[in-house]
Order: sequence, then structure tokens, then C-alpha cells
Amino acid sequence: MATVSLSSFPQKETVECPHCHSSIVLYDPRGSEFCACSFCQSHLQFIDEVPKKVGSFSAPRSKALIPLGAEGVLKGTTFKVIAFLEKEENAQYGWREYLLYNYEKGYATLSEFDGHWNVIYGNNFLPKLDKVLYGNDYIMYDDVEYRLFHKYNPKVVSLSGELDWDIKKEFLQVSEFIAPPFIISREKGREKHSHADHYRGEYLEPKEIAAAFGLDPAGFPPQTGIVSNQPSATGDQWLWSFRAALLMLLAIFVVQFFLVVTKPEKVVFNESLELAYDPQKGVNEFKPVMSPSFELMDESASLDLEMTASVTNNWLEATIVLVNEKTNQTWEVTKGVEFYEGVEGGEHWTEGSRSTAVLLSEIPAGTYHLNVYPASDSPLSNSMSVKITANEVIWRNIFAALIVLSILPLIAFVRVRHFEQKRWSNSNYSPYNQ
Amino acid sequence: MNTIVKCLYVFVGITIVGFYSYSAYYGRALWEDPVQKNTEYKGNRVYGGYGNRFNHK
Repeated sequence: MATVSLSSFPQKETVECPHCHSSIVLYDPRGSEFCACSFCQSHLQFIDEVPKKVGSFSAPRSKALIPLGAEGVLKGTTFKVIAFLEKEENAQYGWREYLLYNYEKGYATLSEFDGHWNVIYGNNFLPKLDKVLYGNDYIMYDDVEYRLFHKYNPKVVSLSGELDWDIKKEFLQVSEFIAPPFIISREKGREKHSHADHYRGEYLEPKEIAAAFGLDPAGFPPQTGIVSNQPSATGDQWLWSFRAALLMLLAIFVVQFFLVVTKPEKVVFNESLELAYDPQKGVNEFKPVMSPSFELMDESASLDLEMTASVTNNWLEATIVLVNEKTNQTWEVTKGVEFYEGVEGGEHWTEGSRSTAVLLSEIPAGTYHLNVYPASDSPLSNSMSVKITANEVIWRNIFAALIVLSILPLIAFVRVRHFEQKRWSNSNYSPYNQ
Repeated sequence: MNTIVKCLYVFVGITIVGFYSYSAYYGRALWEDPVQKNTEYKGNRVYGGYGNRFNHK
């Protein structure tokens, strides 16, 4: 077992490779039970503190970016790199791992795949990892749901350095669950009843690794693709824009609520107008009607003008002119109502409406009357009513603000979704395939 | 999202809230229904009431 509960790193020791007689430096000589010779790739086991060759590894395909023996402080913990491993899955793709040793708690791991880095801790750093709960294609850890992303069987290709277990006899089935920027790996032996160990990884930027070990980040491999637990920058953008839009909409509703209280809507005109057919004016035309006067008290207001007529299988249309009696300013609208009903195939049907409305904008205070010029298909139409309400909530303004304010969050959402689809395209368990 | 876009969005947002407040107070609709202003009614109109009647017996 790795030597732990110390106050500093143990003194390094040098042993000789029994195969090529090269010197091998051990950074945890009491704790490490296996090591590999960097020169001949012999796999050595310490039996009674004497190295014996028990196998061999392939030569490393790449050079370790962080040299063995390098010390660094990562996430507040001091580590020393004691081993460099190369792993692969079915010879399809490979990744690199750096075994980190801390004198108080033991091992952690740094992994690098396509230029993306993770620092991975076991239950020696995160005791709650023993309390992971399983669901269907997900696990719960510390009240966070991690979704199943990948299952694979890793194979060790090369080893440089030392460790406290026989990695050659390690045949694992690994399941990875993600909650970016975190990932939990569930490692289980291939035997049916073998114990499962859990490790939690956290995505790190290369510059953090470089800073921790005093390296030049320019020497790190470039990042390609999107890896499973890579945090989405677009996710933060979406969250920010969504919150900002929500705040602004809230401000709009507060303003509207304030105005509803201080400038409430009120009916300023509600009259039934008598109509009279005028055959001399032409077919469908009625005599013009002038309404009684009414007052608009507010400095400027919106007016909702609602016209209603009791038409049945008929139509009524009217040009209504709002006239300011002081300035002679006019607002002219033409609106019609039509309502049809009948029975067809034993079913009663209706179509149209007996009322219609129009919104007048920014009408100044003053005394007004209406000039109404009606027309109807039926000479028997004898009345219509007009109702004018001031200061109604102008919903179209709210919808317009909502649409404009939603543009940025919508764009951000589309980008988040695109990023997540790309992330999950590397998984056999993608929610986007369902 | 860089700071410029954020600042721009906040600026546009505050402008929208301000314009909305002005419009709500003065009863201004961002887009109006068809209204003719300061015209004199001449009676030259086309009735719209015929349309639906052709759809029914």
C-alpha cells in the first residue's frame, strides 16, 4: 500500500533493474510494490524488498509531459508524480494517466485524452464515494445525478514508474457517469461478485496542470473534440442570458403592475346607438350617428374601442371617427362584425363574432365624441353599441419585449443544445438518440 | 459570452424596459391597428362583410 499519514514525502531510493541493470528511482520505496524499468520496460515486483522481473510492458508511445518525480500543488493538495501509464480501449483509442502520490492520503490520478485533462480522486480523498446510489442509467453522488456515458474495458499498454498494485492483473469493466465538469468511474473486476470501486474526476484546463507543476502550457497537446465531462461554456452563457432576460421581464411586470394600480383602466364611453337605414345613400348604407360627448382625463392613454351588434346571418360594418372637440383631431377606424349560424348534417354551426375591437394609441386628454357611419346587409339592423376603455394593458407591447429579450437566451440555448449533442455523439447512451 | 455582448445585452434590455415603461404610461402601442388620423370621412369604403357568407348555404 502507498505510504500515507506522513508529514512529508519519503526519501527517494534507487534500485537496479535486474534485467538491464539500469537505475530506477523510487519515490515511495516503502509503499510501492511494483515498478517498471523506463529503459527495458521490465515489470518488476518487490519481493522482500528485492526487485524481481514478473513481466514486461510495451515501450511508451509518447513522452510523459509531466516528468516522474515532479512535485506540484493541485487543488490545494501537494502531489508527486510517481508513474506514467498509457492505456487503450480495443486498440481504438488511447489515453495517458499520471499517478499522483500524496504523503497524507495516497494516490490520485491525472488523465489526459486528446489534450483534455481530468484529476481523479478515489475514496481516500472523497469518502462519500462509498455511498453512491444507483438508478437506471444514472448514479447519485452527493445529491447530484450523473448520467451513464460510456462502458469500456481498459488495457494498460505501457508503464513507467511505481505503484502499489499489480496492474498487469487488473482486468476492469469501467462504467463512466457524467455531470460536467465531473465524471464518476465505476471500476469492477470481471469476476461476477467482485467489488466495485468509484472514482470521481474533475475536468481541468491544461493551464491549471501546467501551473501546478511549473510547466510551460505551450508544450501541452492541443485540445481536440469534446470529451464526456468537458464543461460547456455555452451553458454558462445560456444561464446568464436567461437570468438577465428574466430580470428584465420582471422589471417590465413590476412597471405594468405599478401602472395598473396608479393608472387603472376605466370605461369612458359605453352607449347603444340607434341606427336608421338610409335608402337614398345607397345599398347597405345607414344614416350617420353622432354620439354624446365624453371626457378623457389622463394626459395620454390607449383606448380599446369595442363595437358590438346583434347580427345573425348578417353583417354590420361601421366607420367610427373619434373626434377631439377642441382640436378637431380625428382617429378613423373601420370595423365590421358578422355572425352566421345554421344546422348542417344535424349539427349546429356558428361562424364569426358579434363584436370586434380596435386599439387606439396615445390619445391625448380632452373632450371627444364619435361620428359613426354604419352599413349593414340588413335594413332591419337598428342598433349597435360602442364601448371605449382607457388604459387597458397593451399586451402586444409585453409580447414584443418578451420576443426581443428572448433572442439572446434562445441563441444561447441552441448553442448549448448543439454542444450537448456533440458531447453525447460519442456515447452509446445519448438522450438525443431517443 | 464576452463582456461586450453582455454589456450590449444589458444596455438593450434596459432600453427596452425604459421604452416599455414610457409606452405603458402614455398608452402607446408598439404597432397600431389600422387607424387613419386627421382624415375626413368620405364614405368610399369596401364592405368586408361578404366574405364568409359565400362559405355557407
